[in-house]
Amino acid sequence: MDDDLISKKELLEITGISYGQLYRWKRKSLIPEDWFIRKSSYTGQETFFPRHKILARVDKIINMKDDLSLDELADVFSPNAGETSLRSIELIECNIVSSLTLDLYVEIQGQQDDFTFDNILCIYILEKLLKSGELSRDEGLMLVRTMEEHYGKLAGKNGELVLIRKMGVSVLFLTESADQMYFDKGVKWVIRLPLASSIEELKLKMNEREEE
Amino acid sequence: MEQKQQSRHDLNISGMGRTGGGVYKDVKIDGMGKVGGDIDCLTFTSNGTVGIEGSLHADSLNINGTAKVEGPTTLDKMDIGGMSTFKDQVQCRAVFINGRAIFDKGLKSDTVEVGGILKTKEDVQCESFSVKGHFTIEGLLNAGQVDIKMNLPCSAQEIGGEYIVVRKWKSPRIWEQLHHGFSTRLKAHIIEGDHIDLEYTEADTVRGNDVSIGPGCTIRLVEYKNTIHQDPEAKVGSCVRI
Repeated sequence: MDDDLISKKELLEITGISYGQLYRWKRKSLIPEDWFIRKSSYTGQETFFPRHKILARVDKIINMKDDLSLDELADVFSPNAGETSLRSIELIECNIVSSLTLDLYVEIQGQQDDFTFDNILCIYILEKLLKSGELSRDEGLMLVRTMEEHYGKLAGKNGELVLIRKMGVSVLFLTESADQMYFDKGVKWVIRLPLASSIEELKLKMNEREEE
Repeated sequence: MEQKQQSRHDLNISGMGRTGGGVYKDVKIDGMGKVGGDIDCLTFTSNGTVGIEGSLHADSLNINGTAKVEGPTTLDKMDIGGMSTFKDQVQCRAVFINGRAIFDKGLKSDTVEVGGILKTKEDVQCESFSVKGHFTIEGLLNAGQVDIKMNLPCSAQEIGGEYIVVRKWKSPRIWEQLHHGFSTRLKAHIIEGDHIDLEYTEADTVRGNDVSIGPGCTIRLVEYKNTIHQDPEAKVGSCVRI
């Protein structure tokens, strides 16, 4: 575990940001509270961060802060759903999802006029996984049903989507954290997708749309 | 949101009274009042003793006596002239404390102005934090601008921000000269910021871009990036440029 942590000092050295910036971002909830890990070291108490997560996050903030205000950025990173709802035409015109995926979704859930953020998230994840070839069409069906029925309970938390297979039978589930989960040997992890990262991607895509 | 649409009524308690809570326009308590549940109002004014057993949601809170809130508190403006205790998280936009306020959990606000005493058991987060008096923060003080003028010993576990200025407010008192332990100083474990200007501060580690260590400071380790200024009367264990 220790190798995956980065000290605050090292983080500032690598990224070139200042203490003030780091604290400001923390105040604006751009960096989640639970990434600040306090540990004692030979120089007294020090703060550490999960290395990969924080470096990726700082990189994103630096790249995007010219285009978006800090509050808008905070919105992108928050696991809460956006408030926007879009019509099917907009979804396709703005390249958020392809019409193929949308058709599949409509086939399962029925025609809708407006798609809420949660709906769009579901379609977006569906498309992402179908495109990457990790998900079969039948599993896509499971995904949509599971998301529509249970996602609400996870909303606002950093949930994960997990797909496992054993002997050709697939099981799909949503969980708050898949960190502590152990299966027997025959089980293969097929997908482990943190919902928060998809939410981020989707919000960015939708933000681009608003700017255009 | 629905409730905002409904017509709100005023609530007045003069003397002794108890209410179960609810949605009101202006709440005024003169004397002793008890709120048995959650209360949502536009203004909440108390000139006596008040206890709220649930949560408090108001645009403005004005306390001139003693008050105790058990539940989470969301406010726009808070003005404490007496003694207040908040048992749960407090979220506010502007906090003015001229009396004594104790937060058993954290405090989040845009601005915090203290002219009296502030005590928190957890973190304080705000854009601007200015104190003329005394504070004890048992967690992290995270603020854009920290402006501290102390007239009693102050302490914070950690301080982080952009501008951090610490000064002594009044000339030494007579009993301070008699006993060193009473002396007005700030105690902190770690102070980190872009511009740090300290006086009469005891800290383990100070890290920043531009650091100025004034008289009366005792600091084990200073790490700076651009500039350093050290008063001859300050005690600094080691000073490193990074």
